[in-house]
Amino acid sequence: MHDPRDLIHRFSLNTSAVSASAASSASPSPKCPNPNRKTKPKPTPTQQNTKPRARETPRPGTRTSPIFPQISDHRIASTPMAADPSTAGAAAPDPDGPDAVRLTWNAFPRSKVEASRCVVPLAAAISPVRSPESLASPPLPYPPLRCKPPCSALLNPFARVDFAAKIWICPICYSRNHFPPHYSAISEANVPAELFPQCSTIEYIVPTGVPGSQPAPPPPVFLFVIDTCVIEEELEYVKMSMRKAVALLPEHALVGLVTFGTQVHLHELGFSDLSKLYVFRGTKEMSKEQILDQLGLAGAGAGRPGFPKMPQQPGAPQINGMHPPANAGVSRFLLPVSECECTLSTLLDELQPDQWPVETGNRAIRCTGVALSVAAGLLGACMPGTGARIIALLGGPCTEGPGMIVSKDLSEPVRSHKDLDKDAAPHFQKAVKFYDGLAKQLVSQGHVLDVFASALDQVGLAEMKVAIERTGGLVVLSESFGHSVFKDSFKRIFEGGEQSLDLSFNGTLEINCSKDIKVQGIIGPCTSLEKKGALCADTVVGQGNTTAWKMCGLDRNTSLTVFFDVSPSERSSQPGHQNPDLYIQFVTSYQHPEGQMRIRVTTICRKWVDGSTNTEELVEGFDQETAAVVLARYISLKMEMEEEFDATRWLDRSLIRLCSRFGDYRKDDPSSFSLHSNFSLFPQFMFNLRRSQFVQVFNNSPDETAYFRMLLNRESITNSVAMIQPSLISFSFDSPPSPVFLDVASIAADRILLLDAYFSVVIFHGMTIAQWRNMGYQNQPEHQQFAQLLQAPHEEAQIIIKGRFPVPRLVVCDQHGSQARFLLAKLNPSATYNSAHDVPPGSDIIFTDDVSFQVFCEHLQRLAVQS
Amino acid sequence: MSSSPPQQSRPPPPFAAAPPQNPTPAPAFPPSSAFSNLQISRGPAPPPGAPRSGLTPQAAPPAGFPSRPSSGMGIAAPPAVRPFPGSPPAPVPPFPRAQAASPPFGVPPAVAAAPAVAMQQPRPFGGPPPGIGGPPGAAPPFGGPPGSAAAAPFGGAPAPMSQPQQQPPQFGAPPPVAMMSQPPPQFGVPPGVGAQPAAPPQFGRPALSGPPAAAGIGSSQAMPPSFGSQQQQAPPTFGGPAPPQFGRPGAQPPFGAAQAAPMSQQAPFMGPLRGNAPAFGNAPWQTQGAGSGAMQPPMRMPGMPPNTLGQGMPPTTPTMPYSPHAGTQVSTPSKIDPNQIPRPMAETSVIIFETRQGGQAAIPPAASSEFIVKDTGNCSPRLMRCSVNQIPCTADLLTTSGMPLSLMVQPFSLPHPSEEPIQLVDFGDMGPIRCSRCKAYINPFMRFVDQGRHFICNLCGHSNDTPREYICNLGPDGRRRDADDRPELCRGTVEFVASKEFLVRDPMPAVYFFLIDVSMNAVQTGATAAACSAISQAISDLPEGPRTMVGIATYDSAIHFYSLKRAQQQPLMLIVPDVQDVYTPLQKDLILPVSECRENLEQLLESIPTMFENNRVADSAFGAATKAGFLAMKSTGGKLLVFQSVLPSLGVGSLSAREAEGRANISTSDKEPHKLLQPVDKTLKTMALEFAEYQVCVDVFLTTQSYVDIASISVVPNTTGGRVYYYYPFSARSDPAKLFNDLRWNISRPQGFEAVMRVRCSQGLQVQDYFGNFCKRVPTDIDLPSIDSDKTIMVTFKHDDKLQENSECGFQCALLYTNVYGQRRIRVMNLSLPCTNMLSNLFRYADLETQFACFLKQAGNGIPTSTLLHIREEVTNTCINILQSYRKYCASVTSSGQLILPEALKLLPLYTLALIKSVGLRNEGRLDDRSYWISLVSSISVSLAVPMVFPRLIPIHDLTSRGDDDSLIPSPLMLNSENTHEDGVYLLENGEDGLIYVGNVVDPTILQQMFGVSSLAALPSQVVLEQFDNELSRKVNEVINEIRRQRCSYLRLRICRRGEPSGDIFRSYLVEDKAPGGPSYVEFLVHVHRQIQSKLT
Repeated sequence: MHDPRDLIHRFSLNTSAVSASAASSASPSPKCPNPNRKTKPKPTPTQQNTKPRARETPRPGTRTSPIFPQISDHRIASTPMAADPSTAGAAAPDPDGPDAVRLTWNAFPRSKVEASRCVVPLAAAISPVRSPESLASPPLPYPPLRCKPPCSALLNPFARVDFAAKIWICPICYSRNHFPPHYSAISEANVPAELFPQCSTIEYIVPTGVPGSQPAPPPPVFLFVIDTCVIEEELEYVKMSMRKAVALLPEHALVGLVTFGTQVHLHELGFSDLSKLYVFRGTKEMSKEQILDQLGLAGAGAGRPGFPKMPQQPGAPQINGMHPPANAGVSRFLLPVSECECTLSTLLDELQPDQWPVETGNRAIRCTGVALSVAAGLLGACMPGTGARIIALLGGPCTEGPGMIVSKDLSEPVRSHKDLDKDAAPHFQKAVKFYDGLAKQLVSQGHVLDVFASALDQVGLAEMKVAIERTGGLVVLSESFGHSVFKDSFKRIFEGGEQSLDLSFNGTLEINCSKDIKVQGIIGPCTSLEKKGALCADTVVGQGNTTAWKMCGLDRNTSLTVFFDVSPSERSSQPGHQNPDLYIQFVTSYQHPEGQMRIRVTTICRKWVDGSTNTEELVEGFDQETAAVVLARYISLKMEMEEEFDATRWLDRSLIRLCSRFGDYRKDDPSSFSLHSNFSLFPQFMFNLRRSQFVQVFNNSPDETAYFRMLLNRESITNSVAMIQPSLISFSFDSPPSPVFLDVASIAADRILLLDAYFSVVIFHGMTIAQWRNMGYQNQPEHQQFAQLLQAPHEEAQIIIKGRFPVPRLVVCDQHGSQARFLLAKLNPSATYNSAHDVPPGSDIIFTDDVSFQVFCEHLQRLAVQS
Repeated sequence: MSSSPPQQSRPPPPFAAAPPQNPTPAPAFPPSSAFSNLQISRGPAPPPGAPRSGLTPQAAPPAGFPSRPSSGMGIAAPPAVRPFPGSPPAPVPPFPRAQAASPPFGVPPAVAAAPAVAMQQPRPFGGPPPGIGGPPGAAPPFGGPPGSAAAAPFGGAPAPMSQPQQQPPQFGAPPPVAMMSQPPPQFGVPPGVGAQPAAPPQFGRPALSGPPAAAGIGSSQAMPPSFGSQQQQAPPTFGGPAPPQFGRPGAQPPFGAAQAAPMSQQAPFMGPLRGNAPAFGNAPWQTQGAGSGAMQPPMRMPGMPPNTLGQGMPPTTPTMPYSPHAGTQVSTPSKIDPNQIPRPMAETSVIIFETRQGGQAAIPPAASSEFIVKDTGNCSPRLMRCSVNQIPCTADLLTTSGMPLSLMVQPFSLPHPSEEPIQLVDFGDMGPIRCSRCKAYINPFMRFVDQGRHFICNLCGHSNDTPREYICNLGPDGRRRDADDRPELCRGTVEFVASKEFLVRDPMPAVYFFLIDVSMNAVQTGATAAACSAISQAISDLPEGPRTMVGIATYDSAIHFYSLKRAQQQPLMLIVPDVQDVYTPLQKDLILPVSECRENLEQLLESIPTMFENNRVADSAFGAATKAGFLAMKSTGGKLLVFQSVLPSLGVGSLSAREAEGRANISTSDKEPHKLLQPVDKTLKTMALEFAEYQVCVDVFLTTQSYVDIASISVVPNTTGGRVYYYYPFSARSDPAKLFNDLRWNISRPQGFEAVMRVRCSQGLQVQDYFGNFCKRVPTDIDLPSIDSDKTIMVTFKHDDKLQENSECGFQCALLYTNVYGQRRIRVMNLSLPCTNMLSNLFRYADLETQFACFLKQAGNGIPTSTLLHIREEVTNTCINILQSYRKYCASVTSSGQLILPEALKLLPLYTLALIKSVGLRNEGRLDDRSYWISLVSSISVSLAVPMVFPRLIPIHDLTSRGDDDSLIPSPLMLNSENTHEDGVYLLENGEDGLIYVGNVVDPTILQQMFGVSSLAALPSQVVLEQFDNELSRKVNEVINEIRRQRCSYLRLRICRRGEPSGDIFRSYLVEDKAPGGPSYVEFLVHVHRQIQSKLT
């Protein structure tokens, strides 16, 4: 990746912001805990039924999870409870809790002022379809009850039920609703599952059509878009991966193929006489209608497969009479794997690198934009409203037509962050606008764009980000189609069972919440449906101004960050009328991987905190991991949206304000400063966030930055924390594998270190270990233990890799080797060349001018206590 | 041709006389009487076969000229004349200028004329004679020879001369001057009538005298025999002795004859002109000045001229005299005998034609006749022929004549198998020698001077330094000693190897790209299958060699390309769906060497019909497909062959069904219906220009059953050097064979690619315009992405100065092209024609077929921009103006009651009538038919121009009764319904369509033998003519195949029956009949005559 020296340099500059007015303070804060003190329980194969999330390396912050149990315990205790149907014990502990909702603050201040004094925004990280297995109840086969409009909240365990009157009172709007006739059997002893307290999250299967005549669920659709402007070797890798993918696809899955280079080739798989393909030029931006006309699908947009077609308008022009207006397009371009496997394999065999000549001094002409338009248009015509993915394999930048990011002239470099900053990227805005339009189209069709970019150069992810993120697409960035990051990730999306990503489609998220709470918006892979309502806040964060969002693609990892605002009405602020609890309900309807439509509802209840004095309750409700991730996401957004935004300074100020507000200290006495355990890790998160790729973008390309941010925005809190602050585990003869400080001091000659930085997993052999290994001791029977020691981190790494999408890059390196930079860049530079003389033999130093965490903390304490 | 039985039967009387030997007597008279008003100055039967004979007349004319000088004009020539009288050899001198020589002759001719005149309109003759007089002068020499024989016959003629006599002298003088207005006066005196006319008269008479004979022939009955004999004999005879004399005369004579003929010709008409003509020619000469005689001989001139006129003449002459007179005298319209009016004569003998004889241009034989060219300095008339074989010195003269001055250039015309191939000259890196000022290529007419160190350009007159390597000493005759060894110095046509300066890039390979319509209609009508099958079969006819490339695409509402690389497991089909803005789907692999993809291509062609079997796309994106095909071949250029079946309804260049609109408009009359014959917009034109720029030639095969807007579509082929093929209504049963044959001929005929053509001419003239299928970006050159043996380009000229009378006017056409083997060549064709100041010469040497082709093209060109009525009027007026000019200035002596036609142009009224009634000009008919006609006409060759409107009608039911000695094809019948009997089967062919008319009471045996059906009812309208195992069937096939060979066209055969629309179509081709669309031939002649009369008064 990048040279740590750059990091050092940059970091040293940035430090000045913090330390400007700081006096030196001798010792690191005693309150700063060891970040890695908890040993991760090593999962055994039998435990793996808990799905990837369970295998994530627990992080120090996991400690905060008790917050949840406490609250839920409380609720459970207060509610009469029937026997638990299936649950809790069986499912492994979920760091995000059964509701998969984590709030930055688990107690909400009542007033706007108080809220702003909290510094860290009120936000919830939710995973809409996380781990269906962990739910307390199996999916309910009937539709949910809804409160009367405009509330429309779903019946939930927090509702007060009058069994006698057969009435339930919505906890959110307090409306009284009669149970419908089929609930007439309801009684204290006969409570429907959705009222069970442990069923605060529950799923419904929505019947479609007439009961009893359930149509077969639509098959999943995969439309591959393959870049052929690559060298032969890369294309061979692509073919290999494609063959594997085809083999993995379920038989009934529909497949389509688009290849592109200078022009776009849409293959008509349903044509058996010969290889037939449609060719579109790369230079011309076409509307969806034009594409459909040209494919002879103009009449096909109306219906959905499996549903009776709209009768053809008599007056409607029938552009292409060859193909019945119905959904013939489906059978021409999208075929069940079982029917087109042969054709596909022939096609793949004969697929050649793009034939159009590349002039010397020029890039290949590649029309990614048009290719994606065509793919989107095709799906729009054949499969509107049905889950479908466009899976794009890109090998380079778009150099022609819409979405072009750089001219074909090699003397023009691909835009960098610097260019973007200086507005010197001539194609950027145009391309973003194009992809924005594409995103809108895909969202309206309910389709997903996945991008697998494998190139040494940039491919334009920064521009495509909007389309990928708005549709909830997957994205993987690697250096080559031959690299395991691509190969394994690509395979993952087709795998079922254990490894399945549970790819779901067509999700819609609605939020209902108590009236004093407003929704500012969502950061994450979704699109606003622009459903405005009373719940919308004035200020917008991310996809806002709505209470409903579309998630064309979502999977078990998908996470969204919802930002709230507190805006009490005058009436509710009157004492006496105040309800101590607040409720937030997340309703997600989506197309399950198996095809059915499901609705999942999560209702949470939290406490209001009154007055400005009662910080204790607030502190108790603080979730520092979530807070760190939310801040990271928030700041990433700000960096994208706001020009001249100084992220480091903003972070520093926020941290100082937070510490001033919630720290325990005497004024102007840095040494008296201490933090509640709920905050103890927060400074360290901020320290690492400041150094992370999310804030220090200049050493990365815009593509990488976009990639990192997209993943940050869509991953679970636990994984996101790993991106900000990697975990480090030490393997040695002396002790069992144990977390160690993310510090250069953790390096030792006789240790093997395993760094999990989310995007990369680094196995780092100490000098001695490396020598032993080079001498081949591990192959000698008498040194089996050494062999095991060598093997252990690899096994651990594999576990991490297996449970993660995208697959991280595995780097195996030795101390002082060139690859060691992947580790060093992430470590706290407690020992630099400045302090080299203090370093014990066998350990390492980092060549940097960056301040170490100790120095950072000193400055923080000093500034926090300033009056 | 031997006369057809029927002809004989009727005409017999008149002809009878003629045929025997002296058609003249008998025919002459009858005709004359018969023709009330008609007079045709009769060369030979100029039009059809006559041309040759026309030539002979020329011989005479020269003589005539000489006479004039003597008379007063006192042209240097006179002396030459003398030589004539002296002896045949003399002729040569005369050539310089017949005029000079004429004096002596002049007299005689005058006499000759006189006779003719005497017969009926002495005076008129007197007038004409002047012009003719000249020729007659020449005639004398001839006269000498012919005289012997001819004399007698002419005697008759001479009589008329009496009047003429007076004129003769005048003639002598007048002729030369005659042309001018003044001369007439002189003449005027003697003749009483226009002095000038007087001269013509002479000719006229001679001609007449000739004509009579000819007339006999003309009448077809008697004539044929006579002709046959005459021609046959004559030629030989001429060949021997006459040549020298005639040689020159020959060239001009025809005209002379023509002119002269008119006078006397009326008679000639009667008989077949040709045969007699010569005869007459002689006769007149002897008696009168031979002027007249000369006229006739010309007929044969082409081949014959060289021969002693005398020899040939004698026999014929006798007859001549009579006929002429007779002919001339038509006086009362009512008395017109339909059997006596001028009609084309078939000619069967092969003529040997030397392009220059004795240093003068020879008059080319009729384009429709069979002849073998010996290139002796001028190019073959097949390659280039001029509307007049003597160039008027001034614009006024040309305007007065009413005739066009244009060249028909057909650079790749098929040679006669016996002709020598065009010689190839390689100047190496130096490149061909050219004039440094006008860039004309070295040719036989460039004059080397100063011991060969300089040469003077015959076109611009510039004196150039001879390149050192090219210097050669001159012989005593002023020619380079090596002239005969160097083709470029002795041949009218040579081909130069193009040096580097002519190459902008490597010569392109031969590229053929096929585009096939696979829309619903095309597939269902079988058009797609027919196209595929045709292509598949034709592939083997593509030029051999690694440089031959092919590509293929199909299209409906999208364009489907195919990549046929052998390496692939299966062909790749690439669809370009954007028909508004097309592009090519691959950079390479779409067009491959034929050797690499033949199997794949054949396989693909086989599967295309089934592949699209169930295609429901009704739309067809012709324009877009063409554009896409073009883009695929843009880098090389080549031929794009498009098979289109429906109205292009989609994409760039899409068209609408304007026909309906047209119908509505026509019914309400105005609204400019002709607009529908113009391209609907400029889109296709713009595209076509781009195609042409990149050397892509488009041929369109329209296999359709509906309106396809040919008016718009044809713009593309017409601009890119291609053509439209039209199969309407397409029949999957009978048309595939034609489609295949058309395609095969299209790719296998002689052709060139990426050609540039320029015509240069002597100072005094300049190129006015080019007409044909090409693209013109600069005024001087035309670009021809492809040029083939069927394409003719018309070049019109205008005067920008005066030409010198004694000089020759040169034309040089240079065609730079790449042959199918990828070699770059420059084909240079030269034509040098004498200049004249005499109007009568213009008439005498007019080339009817060329002129008619010219009118045809101009009419075709005008149709889209004007109303049909107007065009028809224009066509008629052109005819009338020419005849009136002749009448006024060359035959004014005759009584106004007579219609006098110049011999060379005697068939002009008939052809004009045919043109008026043609598909293109008649009111009824489909738009597409008319547009197709227009597009055909634009590039039609001279030899096919006449048949196109004036088809050939032959009986085929009695083929078995013909002797084996007869020519393969029976003599054509006159185009009137009297010739078609209900118990016969007739074939009517115009080079494009073959209509088989089956009478209602045909013997079933014939049906069985010919078509394999037992009754008329069982006969399908679309016929595939199979060969059955019987003689009749075999002969029918032989005949049709022979016609196909002649026309280079696979006739589209249709069965026509009375009482059905098909019968009406057949009938519409019988141009002599009175029809709703026009008058009968006789009526038309009367009309023309009246118009002329009214103009004269």
